[in-house]
Amino acid sequence: MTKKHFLCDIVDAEKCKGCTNCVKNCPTEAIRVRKGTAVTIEERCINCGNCIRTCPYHAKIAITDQLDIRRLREFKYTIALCTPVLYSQFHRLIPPGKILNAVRSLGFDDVFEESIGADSVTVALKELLKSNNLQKPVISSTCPAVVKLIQVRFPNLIDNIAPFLPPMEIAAKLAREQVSRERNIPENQIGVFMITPCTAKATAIKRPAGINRSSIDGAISLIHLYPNVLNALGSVTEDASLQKASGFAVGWARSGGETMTINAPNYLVADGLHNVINICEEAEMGHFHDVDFIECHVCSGGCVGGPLTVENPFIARIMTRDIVKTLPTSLSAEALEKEKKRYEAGYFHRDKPIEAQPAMFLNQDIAKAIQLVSRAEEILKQLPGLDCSSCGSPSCRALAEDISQGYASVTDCIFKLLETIQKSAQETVNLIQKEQRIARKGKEHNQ
Amino acid sequence: MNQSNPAAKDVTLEYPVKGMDFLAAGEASSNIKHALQLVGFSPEIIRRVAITAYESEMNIVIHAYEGVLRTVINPEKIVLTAEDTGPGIAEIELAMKEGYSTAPDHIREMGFGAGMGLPNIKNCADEFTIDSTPGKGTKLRVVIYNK
Repeated sequence: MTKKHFLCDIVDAEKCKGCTNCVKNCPTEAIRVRKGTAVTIEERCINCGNCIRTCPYHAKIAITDQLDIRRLREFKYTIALCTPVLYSQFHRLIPPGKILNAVRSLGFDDVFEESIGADSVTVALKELLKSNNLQKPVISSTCPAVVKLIQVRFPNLIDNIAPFLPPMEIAAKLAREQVSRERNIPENQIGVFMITPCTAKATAIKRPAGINRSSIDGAISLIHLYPNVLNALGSVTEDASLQKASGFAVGWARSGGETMTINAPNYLVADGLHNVINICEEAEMGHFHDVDFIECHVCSGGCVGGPLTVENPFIARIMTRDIVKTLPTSLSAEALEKEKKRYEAGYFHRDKPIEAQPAMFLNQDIAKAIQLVSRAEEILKQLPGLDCSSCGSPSCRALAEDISQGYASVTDCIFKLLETIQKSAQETVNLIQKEQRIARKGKEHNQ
Repeated sequence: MNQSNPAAKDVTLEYPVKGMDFLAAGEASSNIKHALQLVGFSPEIIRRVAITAYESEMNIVIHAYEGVLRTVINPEKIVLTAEDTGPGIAEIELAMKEGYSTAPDHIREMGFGAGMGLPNIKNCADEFTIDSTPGKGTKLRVVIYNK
């Protein structure tokens, strides 16, 4: 597998106009327009999908798996793992049992809810928050783009991330084990496919943080599956037995749902990239020692605002609320007891610590990097400070850093280019005038 | 505003800070943190310098008339100085106590002036010196070694 496959989004070079909308909206300054096309600095990308959302030409494409029957046939038994966001994407309230049945009818043998994993994480987080020597604030590990953002930009906060697998991984593990047990099929012959509302989850499957290998075999984007689900809804009946997760867990589809479930005494909820970055900045400065729990989502509104969704996130939020009301609020006492036993056995914990992936530094060698910073500061003084991005870098400061590293030149700035052209034009004019004067003098001399 | 000398192995970042300017407050320390990330210091060093820079900047904003935040970065160490003209500190020992603050009520209501600024800085510093003349101003110098 080449490195390219790990990136969740690619650029369709024919559609890309080099407009820099994505460049300006990238939270980690990971995109540049070079030679008229957007290119991504892979180490900096957190797979938030903001570029897909902001590209007016739809040149940024999420790499997800197609609903491909041949791929499904590679497995003896296939499971669709369904995001709770799907429930909120229809204009009227459809029972989750019917939606899940419609998804199953598209070629899967079975369907499970991602939310069963949220029920597990609820138990784990409640137990964790009871412990005494906790590194506060605990940051939710549910949004993979937040985890990646912390790895790349806020490595000091890594130890604050809850030590648990994200709900989709736990749900996949539970589903695979249950099917294997009940149907007597080896686990490796079961294929689990995540129906995802976002690029971050698709990438977290291919390159998971803190796990040796994801329990999920592929990601299918909600937006691509949506028309098929709509068609199937006309012909399937409700199968209430497919809906197992609690209402609270389904509520994790929108921001605040997780916090509501775990009922932390002192909490913060932030959604939307720039808000999340601000919260992380403050958390890194140690401003939130008295906060127990922070829930962050890079998408506005939480998962309902994912870049691969159909419905307006504000409407989807209200739909989620209405669906949650129709479901039992929590798991049965018996099921909770089971979850607690799993927690104590370490079933929900990550395999290994999450690694820091600092990607902002200019050079491996600190002395060289200092020189580059110094040079960038000098270059920055010459630039106009308009942050117009016409050069293809996100800001004048970023261009200065790019120039100091040799990735760009001063004349990539159109204002500097104009200045240079004006200067050289003036010099040409001066030269011509000088030539004319000499010629005139020569004539006078000859007369 | 930045000043740097490309010939030396140091880079110096210098930012003016105005008293009571809450609109720009935090910008200087944010720029300093960004520069340290570009250099590639360890997260722990960056955190300590960022807290020092932020608390020093806020001290000028809250207490002083105006001042300058200067950071000299080289591979061995980071030296941060904050120099201001302002009322100065009458009793430095008291100011170093956690929870002691001379910030007026309206500043405390904004969530600042909890009396943790100087103690926080000292906790982050390898070397810490503070000089203050009441009625004139304060000079703070912090060294954090890259180790």
